[in-house]
Amino acid sequence: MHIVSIGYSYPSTILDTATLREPCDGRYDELSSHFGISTLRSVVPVGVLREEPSSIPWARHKSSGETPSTLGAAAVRSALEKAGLTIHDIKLLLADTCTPLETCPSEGQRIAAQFDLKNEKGESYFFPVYDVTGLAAAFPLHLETLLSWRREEVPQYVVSVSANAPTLTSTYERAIPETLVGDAAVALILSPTIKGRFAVLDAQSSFDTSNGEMFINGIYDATRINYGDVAPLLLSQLETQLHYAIEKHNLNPSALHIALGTLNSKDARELLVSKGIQSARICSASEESGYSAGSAPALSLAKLWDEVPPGDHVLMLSSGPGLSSGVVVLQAV
Amino acid sequence: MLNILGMGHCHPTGVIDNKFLEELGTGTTAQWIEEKIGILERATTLPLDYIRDTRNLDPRGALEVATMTPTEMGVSAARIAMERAGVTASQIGLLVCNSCTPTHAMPTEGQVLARELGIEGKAYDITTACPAFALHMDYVGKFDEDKLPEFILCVSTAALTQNVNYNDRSDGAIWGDGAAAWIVSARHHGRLRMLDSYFNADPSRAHAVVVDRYGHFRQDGRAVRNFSVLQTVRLVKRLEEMFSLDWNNDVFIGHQANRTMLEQIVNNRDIPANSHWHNVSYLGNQAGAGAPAVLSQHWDEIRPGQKVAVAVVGAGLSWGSVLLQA
Repeated sequence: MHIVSIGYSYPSTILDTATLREPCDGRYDELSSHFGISTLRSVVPVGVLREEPSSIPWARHKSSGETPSTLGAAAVRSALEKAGLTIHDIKLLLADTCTPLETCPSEGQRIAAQFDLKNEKGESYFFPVYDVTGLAAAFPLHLETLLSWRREEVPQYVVSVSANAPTLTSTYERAIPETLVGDAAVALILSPTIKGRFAVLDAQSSFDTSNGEMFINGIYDATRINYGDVAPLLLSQLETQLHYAIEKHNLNPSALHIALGTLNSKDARELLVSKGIQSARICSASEESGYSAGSAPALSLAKLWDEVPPGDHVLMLSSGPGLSSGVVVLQAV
Repeated sequence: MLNILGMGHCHPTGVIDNKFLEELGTGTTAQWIEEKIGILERATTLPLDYIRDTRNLDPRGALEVATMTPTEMGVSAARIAMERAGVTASQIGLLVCNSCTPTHAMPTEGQVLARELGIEGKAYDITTACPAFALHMDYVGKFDEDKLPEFILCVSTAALTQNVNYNDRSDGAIWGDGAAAWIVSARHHGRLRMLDSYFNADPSRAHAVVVDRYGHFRQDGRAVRNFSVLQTVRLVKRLEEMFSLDWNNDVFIGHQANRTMLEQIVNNRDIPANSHWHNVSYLGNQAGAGAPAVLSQHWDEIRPGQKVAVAVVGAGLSWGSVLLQA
C-alpha cells in the first residue's frame, strides 16, 4: 500500500492568542503556551466567537459557509489534483469526522456529493462511499483496514479523508483545553499497486472505550475534556503506539520522523524526546492550527511531505477522543 | 466465509398508532396512512404526551424525555445476539456500529456500546444509515480471515422518532425506533453463512435523505420512494441470476421503509407472501435496524438449506444486499 498524494484544507479564519484573550480571560496566553499552540483555524467567523462565545452548538454552525464537508471536499480535490486523478478514478472513499452537521447521510457521502459525479453521458457515477469513524485513530484505522483486506478487495485508488471542525462545539468563555482545537481536513490517495511518496508498512489503531467519557461531545452539547485525568492517558497511548512500531519494525528512534497529532503537542514532544526521538524531527501541525482530532497527524505528514529523504521512516502518531490512538509506519520512497 | 452465529433485536414499548397521528390534527387520517404506506403502528422511545404537547419541534427535548436511548436499545439487542450465539463480551474482538441518531459525536456510538457491554476489543462506527446490514457484512467480509478476531459484534440502532417534526403529516407516519445486533465469525459455523455481499452508493443524491444534527429528519419523498423500489428490484434480480433462488423455499427481507413499497417489490419479483418477512406494518421504519431485526425475529424459523436474501436501500443514497444460507 502506498500514499500516492495528500491534500489538506483549512478554513479561512485564523485565530491568534490575542483574538481569544478577551473572551477566554487573560490566562489564554498561558494556556496556549503550555500546550505549544500559537494559532488556531476555525470555520466560525471571529466576530461570532467574540460576541457569542457560548452560542454553541445550536446556532453557531449556521454562521459560516464552511463546514467539515466543504473542508473535506477541498482536501480531496487537492489530493486528486496532486495525483493527477479525478473523482471517477476513485473506487472507494472512506471518511471520518468527529463533528458531523448531519447524522445522516454519512460525512463521506456529503463530501463526495460536492464533486461532479456525472459521466460524459450524464449518468451518475456510483462507488462505495461510507464513514469508518476512528476519531483520533481515523487514518491508522483506515489504513489498518485496507492492509487487512484481501488484496483483490482493495481498489487501485482509494480516498481516505478525515474532516473536522471542533471549534463548532467549543465554548470560548474561559481558558480551558477545549479552546485549543482547530478545524481542518486531510485526504490521502492510497493505492495497493501504484507507488507513491510513502510506502505504508504497518498501521494499528487502538480504543480505550472505558475512558471515553473523559473527552466527550454530546450530540447537542459543547465538548468537555476532563484534562487532568485524560492528559496522562493520551501520553501513555502515544508511548504504547511508539513502542509497538519501534519494536515490531526494529526502528532506530533517533532516525525517525514523527508526524504527530494529539491535544498537547508540548508534552508529547517532551515524551518523544525522552524516548530518543530528535526534537527537530517531530512535526506537529496542531501547533499552528489547533488540534483537529482525526486530521491532526496527517496534517503533520503534509508538512513533512517534501522533507523526508528516501528510505527514512515516518511514524504517523496520534491519540485523542474515543479514547483512541494509532500509529502508521511509513517509509519514504 | 462469514457466518452469523446469533442475532438480537430491541424495540421500545411505546406505540404510535394511526389514530394518534390523526388526532394530532396535521391533516392526515388513519385510513390515508394505512392505504398510502401500509404502516399501522410504530415503536417509539417518546412518551405520547410529549409528542402531543410539543410535536417535538425542538429535538433536544426528545433526548430528555426518551424512555430509551439508541445505546440502550443497542445494548439490549446485542445481549440477545450474544446469548443466541453463546458468546460472551470478553470473546468479542471487534464491535462495529451504525446509527443515524447517535447521542454523542465523541466517543462514537460503537465506543459507548462497547463500554456498556464490557467489550475491550476494537470498537468504531461504520455508517451509511439504512443499508447498514449490507455494509457491515460487506466490510467484514473483505478481511483476510486470519486478520479478523474470532467474534465480531455488529449493531445498528436508531431512534428516529426523536428527530421527527410531528407537525409534518408524512414524516410522523414513517418512523419507528429499534436496534438489531448480530454476531459474525469467519472461524465458527453458525445458523447462517454468507454466500454474497454487495454495497454501493450514489453520493450525487446524498441530500435526498437528511437527519440534521441540530434539527429534524427530512427527505425528498417521491424521489426516494422511486429509487428504493427500483434499486431493491435490481438487487433482488442480481441475486436471482447469481444464485437461482427458489421463492417457494427461500426468503426475501427488504428495507423496512413502508409496506406498500415492499408490496411493489415482491409483486415485481413474484415472491409469495409466506416467503416475504417484514415488520414495518407494526414497528415502522427503523432505519438500519429494520431488516436485521426482521431476521432476528424469525431466527428460530429458518430452515436448513433455506436462503435468505436481504436487500436494503437508503440514505446516501446507498444500497446493498446480503445472501445468507442456513
